Amino acid sequence: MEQPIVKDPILLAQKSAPATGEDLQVAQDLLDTLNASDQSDAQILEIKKCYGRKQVLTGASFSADSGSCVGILGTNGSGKSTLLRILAGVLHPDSGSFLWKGTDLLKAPADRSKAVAYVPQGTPLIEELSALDHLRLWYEKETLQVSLENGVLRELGIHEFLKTPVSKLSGGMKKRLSIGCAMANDPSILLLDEPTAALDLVGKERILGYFERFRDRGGLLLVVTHDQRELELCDSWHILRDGRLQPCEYDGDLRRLTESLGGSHERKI
Amino acid sequence: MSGKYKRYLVLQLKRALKLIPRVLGVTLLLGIGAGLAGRMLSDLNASDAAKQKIEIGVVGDTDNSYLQVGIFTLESMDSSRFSIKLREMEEQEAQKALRDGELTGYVRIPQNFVDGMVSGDHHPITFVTADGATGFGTMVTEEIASAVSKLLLETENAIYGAQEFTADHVRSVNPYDAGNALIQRYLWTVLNRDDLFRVQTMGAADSLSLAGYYLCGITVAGLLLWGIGCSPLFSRRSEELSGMLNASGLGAAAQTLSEFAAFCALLLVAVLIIGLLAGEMLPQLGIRIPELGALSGRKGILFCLRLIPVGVMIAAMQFLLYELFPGTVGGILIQFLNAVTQGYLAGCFYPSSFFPEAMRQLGAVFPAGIAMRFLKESLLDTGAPWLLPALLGYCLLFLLIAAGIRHRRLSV
Repeated sequence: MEQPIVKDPILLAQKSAPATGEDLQVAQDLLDTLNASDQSDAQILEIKKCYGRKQVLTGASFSADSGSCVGILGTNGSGKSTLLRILAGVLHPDSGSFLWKGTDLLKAPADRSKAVAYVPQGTPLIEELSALDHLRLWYEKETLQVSLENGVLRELGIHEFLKTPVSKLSGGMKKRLSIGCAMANDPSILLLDEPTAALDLVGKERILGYFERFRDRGGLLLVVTHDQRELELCDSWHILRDGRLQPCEYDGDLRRLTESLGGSHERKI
Repeated sequence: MSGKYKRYLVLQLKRALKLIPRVLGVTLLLGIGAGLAGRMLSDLNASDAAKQKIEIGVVGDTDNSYLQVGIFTLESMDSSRFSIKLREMEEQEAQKALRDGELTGYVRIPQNFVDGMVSGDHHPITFVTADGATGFGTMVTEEIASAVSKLLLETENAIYGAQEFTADHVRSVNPYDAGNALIQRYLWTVLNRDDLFRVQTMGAADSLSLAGYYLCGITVAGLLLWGIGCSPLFSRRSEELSGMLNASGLGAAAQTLSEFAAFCALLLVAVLIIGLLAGEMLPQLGIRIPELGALSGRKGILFCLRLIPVGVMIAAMQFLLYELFPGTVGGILIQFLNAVTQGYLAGCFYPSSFFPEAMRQLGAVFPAGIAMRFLKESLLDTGAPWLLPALLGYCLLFLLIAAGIRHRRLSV
């Protein structure tokens, strides 16, 4: 089985020598040095999180630049959503940093809420209320008007169902509304948790089209996904395994990617 | 008030208003269900209730033979012999027995009651109850009405007896003319039954009329059950939204306050609607609350005003329970259990004087018990200044715990 290309220095260190404490420290120093010299706009460094005794993230790290899309893959329960929720500020990490142009957003909530938008897997919407009611919660009055006339809300087509209660919206409309709400502060980073799961083709293309335009305008997308079409949108890919992120390559061959996720191992069983 | 807090508050208020029809519908269904269940239970227990005798003293002028016949008949009739026992006694003895709890009440027959009745000079019968005997009022009133009916019947028999006696022994008088004259006088003087008896409570400190007591009981029980009807407001709460709001700077305390304000508004609007409907319908149904008078009167307004802190406190308790049990099934179940337990202990379903002392004391310090007392005080015009701070204290405590739980959930 062909292994994915591994770029993580700690993993390189672990592969080339027995994992003694001293070697790991050397690897950590190497990582720190690399990070210090890393000029990427976004750097996620050693994020750790445990639920009770279960260590979900053991030091997830990666970096990315503006105007790119990063895909995060992993098996169910590997901690992908946890990582995204931590970056969004919904969950608190045990340790780690999320540097955006030099500022640690995990320690600066006000900066984070301006820079980062998060679209969760579920719908953060209230069924009885209309799309407009939701937008009024997240947008300032003036910004809302502008955005509806000639901004992101127009681009997402939310003006088409402004007064419809959420309970009567389709899955695609709800997702567009969630994205619209998340974009209220004109963020630079968009965190997406399986954004087009369970959507029909038309709904999916409409949303992916928006993501492409967001990226082309210089936005950074971090996408947790299992979807082929979403994977194609990404410029780089990372697999979350054993609480750590490992860079991998995706050339359109889903079978190979599945094997690198541990699919072949499951088949043997 | 920060912009986002204000906007979230408006959003929640809007949501609550949109849910009013649904919540009222659920509450109406619950009310009908509870009413039907109560009716079925009372039918099932009717035979048991019939075996429970209550003792009533009879004092005053009981020497009249017609009255004696009436008392004897009352004790012998199928309709009352299983439920009532009459004891002839002196008034002082009856008062002592009443205080000792041996009697449910006593009937004071005025001097020359029967003679006065025949001559058209009404001396009403008085029924005296103790303060804790609220639940027996209706029963006793019915029994007295039944007794008076019996008296009327026996009086009629006496008239015909007198007619026959006249026919046999008094030759100078036309017996039929005499009988007709007696019947005419009887019809003229006696048939106005409303003037024949009245019910009087002894006027001890804690006494409320049956209607007044049940007004308080039903109000508190209704507010407690209201939490179940409000499940649509809580059962589909988005945890994702909570987390995102927290991340955007709207923390647990602000969220709790906004959502609670909306819940309270929903409750108070519904109470207003139900109150207005009740105010219109109760007089038409012939139900009168003696202590309250008209709803627009001073006591009526005071009662409505006192509903506000009671409603707010109960809403805070229900809000906390939904925070503890956010799932639909668990939430509804815990609201129901809470409503039944607290309603029972507070004396909403049975007067708390029926319970053992320990239960009474426990019920009195429970939130619903305090609410019940607070409402009773408004009807009785007695002052217990600590009740309002106790209600507000409970409210604050519930909200603090709810905010703490939300904070803990969001701080994972």
